[in-house]
Amino acid sequence: MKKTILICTLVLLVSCAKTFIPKEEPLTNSTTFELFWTDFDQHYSLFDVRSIDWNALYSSYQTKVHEGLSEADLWNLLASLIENLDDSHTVLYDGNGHSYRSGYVLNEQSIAEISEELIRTSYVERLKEVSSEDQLAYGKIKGKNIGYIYLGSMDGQNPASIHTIIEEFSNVEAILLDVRQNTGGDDRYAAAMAKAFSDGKHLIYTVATRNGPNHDDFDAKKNYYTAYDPSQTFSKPVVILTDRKTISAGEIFLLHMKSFEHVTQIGDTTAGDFSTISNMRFLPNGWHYRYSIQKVLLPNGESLDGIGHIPDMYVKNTVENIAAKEDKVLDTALKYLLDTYGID
Amino acid sequence: MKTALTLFFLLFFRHPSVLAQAQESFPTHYIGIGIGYSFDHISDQNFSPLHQKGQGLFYTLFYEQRKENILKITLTYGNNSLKSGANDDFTSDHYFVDVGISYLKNLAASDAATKFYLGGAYGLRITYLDWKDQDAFSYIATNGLSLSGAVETKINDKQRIGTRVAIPVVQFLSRPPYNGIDEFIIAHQDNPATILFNGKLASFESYKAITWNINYSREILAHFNWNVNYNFSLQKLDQEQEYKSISNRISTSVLYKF
Repeated sequence: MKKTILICTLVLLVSCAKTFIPKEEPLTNSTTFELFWTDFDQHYSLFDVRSIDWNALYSSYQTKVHEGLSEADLWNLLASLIENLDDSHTVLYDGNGHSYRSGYVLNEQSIAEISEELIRTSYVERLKEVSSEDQLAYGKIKGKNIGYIYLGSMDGQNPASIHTIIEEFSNVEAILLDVRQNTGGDDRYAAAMAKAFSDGKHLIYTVATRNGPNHDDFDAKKNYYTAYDPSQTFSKPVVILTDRKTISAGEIFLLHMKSFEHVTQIGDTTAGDFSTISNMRFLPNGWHYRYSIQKVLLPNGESLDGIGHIPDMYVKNTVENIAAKEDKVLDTALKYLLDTYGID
Repeated sequence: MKTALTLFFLLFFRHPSVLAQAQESFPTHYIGIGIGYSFDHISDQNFSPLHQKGQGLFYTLFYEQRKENILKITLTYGNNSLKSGANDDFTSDHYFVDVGISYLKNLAASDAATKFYLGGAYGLRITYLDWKDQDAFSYIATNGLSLSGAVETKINDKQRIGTRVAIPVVQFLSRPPYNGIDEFIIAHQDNPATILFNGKLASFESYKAITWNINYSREILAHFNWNVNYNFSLQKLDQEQEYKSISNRISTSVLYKF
């Protein structure tokens, strides 16, 4: 009798997993759409900032969802839904190497509007790469007493390496800091790199993370300031070069840099995607996705999300410029230094 | 809650001489090492709308002191893979660490064949889920006090069977924020202990858990015992992003008696 009770209890406990853990969502087009839309509705942070009526989009798209849709049709429908957000931090992945990034057309175009080879051969004397860092290189502009630094990501391990570069540039009259195609990374790395050019402690932005199901549920804002060390800073003119693919932590870097008096931005408007991105989210059919979960605001409460950093001097290369061995952004920056500061 | 706490403190502090008495009359000490297999079901809305399930090995180390009362210190570690969704691409890594210290006071006569125990335990319990090197992650970490009860029967001089139940009463609970990541997580990403111990006191209404254990012990040599253990564990967190888990763990261990 005791054995029977024991066995029955064990069987009951093992099987109670099925009742305790609710049923799996069925693998249907409707379920996939509903999970996807609802997850954005409850977690995405920029509906208000980007003036998105997510409920209206539901009404418009939900009617197109039925079980007869092919996988490709459903993919296109979800991709089209997130395109409305115009937020390249929002990405849908199919798990087989294919992805769709919202609002990415201009960013993608800009890849052909810069040439590393052109910079190496025509503009910089000897471009040295910092091996410990990710896409950090520097050299002097040919025939001029101007330093050039290329910073293509904010994913490096040792931001102090910027001080070594600046020590080497102690006699240059200005620096061109090229963050075109900067794909972002760690905001803390961006802050540490910017510190090397700082002229003081300034309140530059606030961050609030969405923390509830309503579109306006956010946690307390956290203030971010520039850091400053007067013994380790480059205070001569700095021109920062940007394009449409300067994004995320690259744009956070610009928030720091543009608060300094001696920094000028030349190039194209940046991507306008500032938020930290979410953890990967999952759909029953194997697709997965990410989105923005924060609101980054300027001290005056305005947001640059969806706008980007508008340059002090707007200029962008075309594919033809690059083919003609001409980098108009670099040329404009050099002319600016000559016209404004007499630096040649 | 108040009743549970009162009971807990009464058990530990009513007779301050309990441990001293045990020292006087030569308690038996055991050190054990074990290996087991865990069957896990997790539904963590913060991690994924999909359920996770899987199984794998786990390991235990423990020290036990027995005489009239039982003192036990246990460390359990396991990791396995949990599957979810329509394909294996969503397989995530699952790690768990349980550290516990419990003290059970015998309520029956010293020479009774069946003994009833009541006591308390402090436990630290961490579960961590990770998909593709933190492309997605979640965790639940609890540390606090539990009420514990046990019954043990001597089958003969060499065999013993027992069961034990523990229910948490005061727990500090740490979970990811609503959106999985926030500025606190970002600022402390290089120091996970700070994140895991950033707990808040969880109400009994919001966090419920129970662990139930059946243990069979047999003396195989003068200084060695062999144990077989079944452990059932359930955790349920009622928050906006619900967490539920069920684990069934079967293990065996060898104990050195001294």
